[in-house]
Amino acid sequence: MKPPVRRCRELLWIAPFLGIALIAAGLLRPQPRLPLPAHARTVVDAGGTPVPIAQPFRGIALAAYPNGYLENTRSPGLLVYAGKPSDRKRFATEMMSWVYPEVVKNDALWNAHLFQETDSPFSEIETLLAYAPSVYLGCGGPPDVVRRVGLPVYNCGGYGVTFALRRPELRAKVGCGSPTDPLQRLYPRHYVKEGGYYSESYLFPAIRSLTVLTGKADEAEPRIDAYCQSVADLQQELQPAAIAHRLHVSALGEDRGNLPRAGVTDAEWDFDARGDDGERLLYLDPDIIFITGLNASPREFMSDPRRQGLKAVAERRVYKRFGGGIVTKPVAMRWIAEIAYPERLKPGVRQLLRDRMFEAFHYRLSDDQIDELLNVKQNSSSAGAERFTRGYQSADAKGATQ
Amino acid sequence: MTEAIIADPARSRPKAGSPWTTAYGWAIPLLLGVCVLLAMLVSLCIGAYPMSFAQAARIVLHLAWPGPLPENPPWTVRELVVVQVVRLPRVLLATLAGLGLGISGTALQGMMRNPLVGPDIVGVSSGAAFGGVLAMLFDFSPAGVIALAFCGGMLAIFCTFTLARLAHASSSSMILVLSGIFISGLFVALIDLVKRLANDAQFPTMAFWLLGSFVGADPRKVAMIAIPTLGGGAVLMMMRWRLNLLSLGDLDAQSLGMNAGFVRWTILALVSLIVASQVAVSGVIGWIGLVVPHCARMLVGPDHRRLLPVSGLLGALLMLALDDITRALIRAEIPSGVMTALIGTPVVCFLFWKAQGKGWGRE
Repeated sequence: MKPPVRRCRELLWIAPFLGIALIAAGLLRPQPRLPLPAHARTVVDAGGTPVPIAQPFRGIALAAYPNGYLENTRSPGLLVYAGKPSDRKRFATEMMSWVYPEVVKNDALWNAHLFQETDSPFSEIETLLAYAPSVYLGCGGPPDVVRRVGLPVYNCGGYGVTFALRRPELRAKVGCGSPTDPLQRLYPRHYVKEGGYYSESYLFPAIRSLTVLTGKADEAEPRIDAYCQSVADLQQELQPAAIAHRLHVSALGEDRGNLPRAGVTDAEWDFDARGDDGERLLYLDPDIIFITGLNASPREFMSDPRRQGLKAVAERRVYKRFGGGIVTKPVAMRWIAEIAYPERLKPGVRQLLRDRMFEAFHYRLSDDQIDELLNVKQNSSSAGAERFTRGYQSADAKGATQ
Repeated sequence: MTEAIIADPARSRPKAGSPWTTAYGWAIPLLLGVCVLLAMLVSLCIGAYPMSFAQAARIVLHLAWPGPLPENPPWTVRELVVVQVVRLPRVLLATLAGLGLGISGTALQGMMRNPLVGPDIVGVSSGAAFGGVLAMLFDFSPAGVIALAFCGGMLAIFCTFTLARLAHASSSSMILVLSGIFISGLFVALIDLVKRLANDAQFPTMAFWLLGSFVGADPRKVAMIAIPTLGGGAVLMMMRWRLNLLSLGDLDAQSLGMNAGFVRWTILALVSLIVASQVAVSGVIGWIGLVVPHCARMLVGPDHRRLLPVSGLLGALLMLALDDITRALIRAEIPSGVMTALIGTPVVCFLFWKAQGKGWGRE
């Protein structure tokens, strides 16, 4: 029989076990929730959730990349946090940083001390609590846990998030001309799978919800109309229904939503996008290949011995393309269409890009900037790419004047 | 040198413990327990939102104390959210993972009489990880992930022992380690196969989970690890006398009236349960189960009555410290599995160097 003191000593391990168990049991209590702001206006986000926005408005903290927010809202002044320092580096190389240089320059928007270099939703909660913006904006679905503690989370939609399918009032508005769009009949499977197939399925809900958030709801429809007008102009000139032989296009690792609008067929529509797969490409043997999602340049891609059996490589029809949002997408469609069917369209990409940027942001793109956006240098070894160079443009314009 | 290291840790104990250890060794678990609780409170003060130690302690005390929270608490809702929702689940997850891995490593080393053994060496971690990724591949619920992780851990350890038995050397330390390495290799290959079969949405989740991390800790995950770790750990604590007997060898243990086979399999099942729950909630975290028992043995000697609780608490302290370093000093979510390997390797090198002078395995 052990003496009681020794027995107690042998049982001392229980104390930390018990302590940890009791603290862990404390988590079983109901989760605390931040009270609603005393003064708030309520707006419905792209997911259909009502979000109370505190008044007076203290600003927006972005959980998403700032490019899309700025292109849709044109309200850089409402931002209190734009992203992580790594986002800042990336943003500084993109189009919206030319239009809004003040966003790149403002250190406070990229504060590494307050906002940790992490993707953890929990760290986001902490930093948000420390910074207290009026609303936390995420595109593509911010984590539920942020919303559960009562933080004002606003979901602006995003690519692959098929809000349009879940909300009937948005479903009717998806796409220019859908659901009666003839292309819907051509790609019924994707139409269902991706909530409308076209880029509009995420662009339109995003701009509608973001303009409501920034208090400029009336600006959404004119911008959507301008987009649709550009698309209609392209369709009018291209006449996709009259194209006898539609070219097959592979867009490796990138958004394929624009392809049907440009009159080409997505060669990979029956495959799950898995990036670059050499054998699959050889099997599909598309007429044109876009490699924006890859690190290689078109020249490197075409000189790769593994690609030599491809028709697109033999005809030097490999390109790096540009994308963008609601302002530049119609230009990107035209760019694809001009690449695919140069005989059906007059060269107009450079001018269209310049015009749309000026209409949208009152910003005049320089020739160098247009070259950069259109990847003119990278595509210089690809067939027909000279069509997008500044010299070609002026020569064509000259010819048109004569 | 190898033989010296692989020798039986029980035999390597000092003939008589140091006077300090003999007199005050019983207090070390208590002191470490207090250190762990203090470290948890300090960890709760680290982060972007400013939080004082006193305020964190007050909130935790009220949360842990049975009964409702005060009507007019001395803290704001924001502070409560930071502690209860953001920091406490993560701190508890790190503490419990370290505790479980420390206890498991010590139990395995004692039972197999081999200081090179750890949950990741004998294949339990790989087996549990395989179960976990398999559950993710088939979109199982979190409970399903832990169940399959447990089954994977048990299967791996069963395979390890069966392989050693096929070599007619189930009690040989070296053969057990080799079997563990073979079985680990097999399960790592299976994990890679599952990753290859995963779709684009599943793959990043699997890859990050396998690296080991406490990102995304929540009360559900804490419950998933707390019940097996504290429950299984308590049973192992109650068996620590038997571990002492088992570390003498099966023949000696049986001559003292113990059913060595039953005890061995009970310990294996408990270790698998603890490691599986840890792997299920925070991915594969290596080294803790291997390194911590050695540190604890240097502190209190090889007697499992003290070694087991000290290993658990040291593991908890180390894991908490690593997690704090990760999120506070480096300010980046470096996976804990990576951090433990970065810190664990130099520690093992140091221990090897020290072993030349003092040795774990000196006869």
